[in-house]
Amino acid sequence: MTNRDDSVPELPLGSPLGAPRSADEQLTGLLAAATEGEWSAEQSRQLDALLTAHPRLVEAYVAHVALHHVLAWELQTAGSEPPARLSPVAAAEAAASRGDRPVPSVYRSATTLAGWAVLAVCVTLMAMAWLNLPGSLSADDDIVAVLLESEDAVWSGEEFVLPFGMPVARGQRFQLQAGLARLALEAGAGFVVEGPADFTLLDGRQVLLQQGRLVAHVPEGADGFTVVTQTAEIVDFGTRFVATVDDGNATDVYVLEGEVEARPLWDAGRARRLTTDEAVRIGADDLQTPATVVAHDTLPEPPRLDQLLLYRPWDAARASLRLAADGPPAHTPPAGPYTAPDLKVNPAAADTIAHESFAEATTWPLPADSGWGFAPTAWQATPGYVSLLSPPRAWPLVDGAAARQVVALGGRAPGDPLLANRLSRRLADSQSGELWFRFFGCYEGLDDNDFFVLWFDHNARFDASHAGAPSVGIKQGRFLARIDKPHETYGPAAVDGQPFELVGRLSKQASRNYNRLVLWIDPRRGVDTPPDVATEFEPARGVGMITHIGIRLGQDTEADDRLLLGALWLGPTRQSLYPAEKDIQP
Amino acid sequence: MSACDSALPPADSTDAADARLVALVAASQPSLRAYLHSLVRQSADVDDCLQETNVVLWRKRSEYDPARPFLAWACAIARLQALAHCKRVARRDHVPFDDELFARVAAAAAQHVENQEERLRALRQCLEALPPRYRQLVDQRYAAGKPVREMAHALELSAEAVSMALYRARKQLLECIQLRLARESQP
Repeated sequence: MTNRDDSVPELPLGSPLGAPRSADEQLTGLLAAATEGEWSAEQSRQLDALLTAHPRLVEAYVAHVALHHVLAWELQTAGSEPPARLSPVAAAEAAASRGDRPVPSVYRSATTLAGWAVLAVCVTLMAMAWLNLPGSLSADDDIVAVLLESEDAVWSGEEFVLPFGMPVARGQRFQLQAGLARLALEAGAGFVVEGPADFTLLDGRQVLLQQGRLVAHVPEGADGFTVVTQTAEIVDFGTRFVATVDDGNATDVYVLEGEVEARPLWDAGRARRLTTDEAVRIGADDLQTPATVVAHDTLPEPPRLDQLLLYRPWDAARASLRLAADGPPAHTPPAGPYTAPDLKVNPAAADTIAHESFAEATTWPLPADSGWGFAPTAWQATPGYVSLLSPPRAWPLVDGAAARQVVALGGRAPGDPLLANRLSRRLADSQSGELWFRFFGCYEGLDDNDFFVLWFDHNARFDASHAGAPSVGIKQGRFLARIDKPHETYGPAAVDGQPFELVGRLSKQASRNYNRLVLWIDPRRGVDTPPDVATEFEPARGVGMITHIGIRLGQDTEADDRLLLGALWLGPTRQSLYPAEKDIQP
Repeated sequence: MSACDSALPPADSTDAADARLVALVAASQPSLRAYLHSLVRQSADVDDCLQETNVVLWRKRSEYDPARPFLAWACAIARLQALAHCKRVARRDHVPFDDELFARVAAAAAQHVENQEERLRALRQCLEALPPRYRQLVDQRYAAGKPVREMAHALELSAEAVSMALYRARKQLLECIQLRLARESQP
C-alpha cells in the first residue's frame, strides 16, 4: 500500500474512445501487467489510488490475484491425486482429525508443484522441530541422506530452493528439471545428479534412478552403494562411476575410477564387472559395450570427500549447514557518532541508485534500512562467514574520507557447499537501463585458483551460481569482467592483500539483455581513460532486468581467505557514483 | 536453517502435534502466498513475508487451537507480517500509510481464503468450460509453467498481448466461478 491520494477524481465508467479510461479498464491494465511480473512503484501507486476511489474494485483485485495462485497450484497437481482431492489444507486437517500419521502428502505426491513448494517449507520446519529434540535421532528414524547443496536447481518446473543440509527420508522422490543436486548418504557414499532427472532414495545406500545422469563418489568403507534403474542394478566396489538413464530407459554405466558390477535386472547371470574407463549399456533385453568414451570434463563433480566426511559418523540431527569453526572475529566498532551522507541533498548524487558504506551499524547483521536505494530487507549473508572489520591500514581514502568499516567475507571451508555465495541484497527498484557501479575491495590470501565475483542478477538464490549473469571480480589472479560464463575477459593482475577500486558500466547494445561490460581498475577521479577490461557478448539467455546484487566466492578458495568489501555505489551515470565529485565526465 | 528459539521441550512433549502443525503450515503455503500477494504485491516481498510468517507460526505453535480453522489463524499472522512490511516501505518512501485500504484488502483476501473449497470445486468445472484457445494459454502458463515471454515468442505475439489474453482467460474463469457459486447458494 502506498499513499492515500484524496484528490483522485471519480472516473466515469464506459467512457467513449479517446476519453480517460474507466476504473475497470484501469484495473484491467494494471492486473494484466502485474500478475505476470513485478509491480513498478508507479503501478502500485495507481492501484492504491484506484482501489481507494473505487472500493468495489477491491474484490475484483483480490479475486484475480487469488485465482492466479490457485491456477498455479491446481493445474500443477492435476492428474496426480484422486479426483475427489481437497485443497492441501483441507486434506491436512482431515488427516489430522483422523489421527493419521502426519507425514505431509508431499512425500507421496512429490511430482506436484504445490508439493514441492510446500516441501521446501515443510522440511525446513521439520528440521527446526528435529533440532529441538533432545539428543540425536533414533535408529528408527527414516532419514537416509542429506542434501549437501544444489546448483541452479529447478525442481519440477519451479525455481525454488531446497535448503542445504535438508534431511532426506527413505522413499523420498525428487524430480530435478535442471541444474545439479549433491547428496550424502547414510552409508557414506555421495552422488551428484544432473537434471533433467528423476530419482528416489530407497535407503541409506540405494538410489532408484528413473531418468538422468548420476555421478557417484564411494569412498573407502562405503562400498556396496547401489544404483537401481529400470533395466539394471549397479553395485559399486569403490570409488567413482557414472550411471545414465536415457529416455528409452537404457542404462549406461561408466567407471571413472575403481570397480563396479552392472547386473541386468532381466538376467543377473549376465552381470559384468567393470573397472576404470570401462563401460556398458544395458537395455530392456540386451547388453552392449558402447563405442563412445565419456569426456570427464563434461561430468558434474560429485560430492568431495570433505563434504562426505562432514556427516561421519552419521547423525541426522547434525544435518545442517555447518557454521565456520571459529565464528566471526570479534570487532570493536569505531567510536563516535556516524552520520550517513544525505545523498538526496547533494545534486550530483540526486540520481544515485544505491549506496552502502557498511558504516552505520556496530555489529553484523546490518539493519534492514542500512544503506540507501535497497529494498527494506537486510543484506542476506551466509551465517558465520560475514562480519564487520576495521579497514586494513592500506585501505585508501574514499572520496577524501577514511572508511569506517568494511565487510569481511570468508572463503570456503572443507565440507562446505561448492557454491560459496556469501552476500546479496535486493535493490529498491529494478534496473533495466545502463548501470554504473563502483566499489572498494581487497582479497586476502589470493592465489591462482581463488575466485570471487560481484554479480548483477534477477534473483538472489543462494544455490545459484549466477554464472549466467553479468559480473566482475577476480579469477586466476586477474581482474575479470563477464557477461556470462564462459564469456569473460581478463584484465591486469590483482595483488594479494592490496585494496582496489573497481568502476564499471553495464549496458545494452541493441539488445534486450545486458551484453556489454567495461571495467576500470583504480581509476583516477576526473581522468577519462580507456577501460582496463571490456567485454561484449550476446548471451542466449541473458539478464535484462537487475533486481539483486551479490557476491560469490569460488569453490577452491581456502577457509582463511577473506574478501573485504568496502563502500559501493550504483548509478545511471559515472558522475552519480561520486557524491562529492561534480565534474566527472561520463 | 535456523533453529527455533524456544526452550527445548520436555521429553514427553507433543512431537506428534508439532508434526501435524508442520504439515498444516506446509499445506497452507499456496493459500498464504495468495493472501500475501494481495497485500504486498512484489514477488520477492511476498517470499520474505511468507518466510517471516512461517517462522512466527512455528514460534507461536503452542497458541494454535486445533479445534479452530488453521488458515484463519495463519492468515491473521500473515496479515501482521504484511502490515509491518508495508509500513516499513511507506516509512522508507516517506509516504503516508493507508490503514483503511490495507484493512479492506486484507479482509477481502481472507474471505477468499475461507471460501477456497467451494471456489476450487467451481474452478474445476469452469476450466472444463473454458474455450479451447483460452484453455491452451492457461495450461501453458500454469500447467507447463512457461513464462509469458516464452509463450509470446512461441506465439509470435508481444508479451503484453499474451498477458492481456491470460487476463481475459482468468476473468472468464472468475465470472464462471461467481455464477456457479451464486447458483449453489440459491435454495
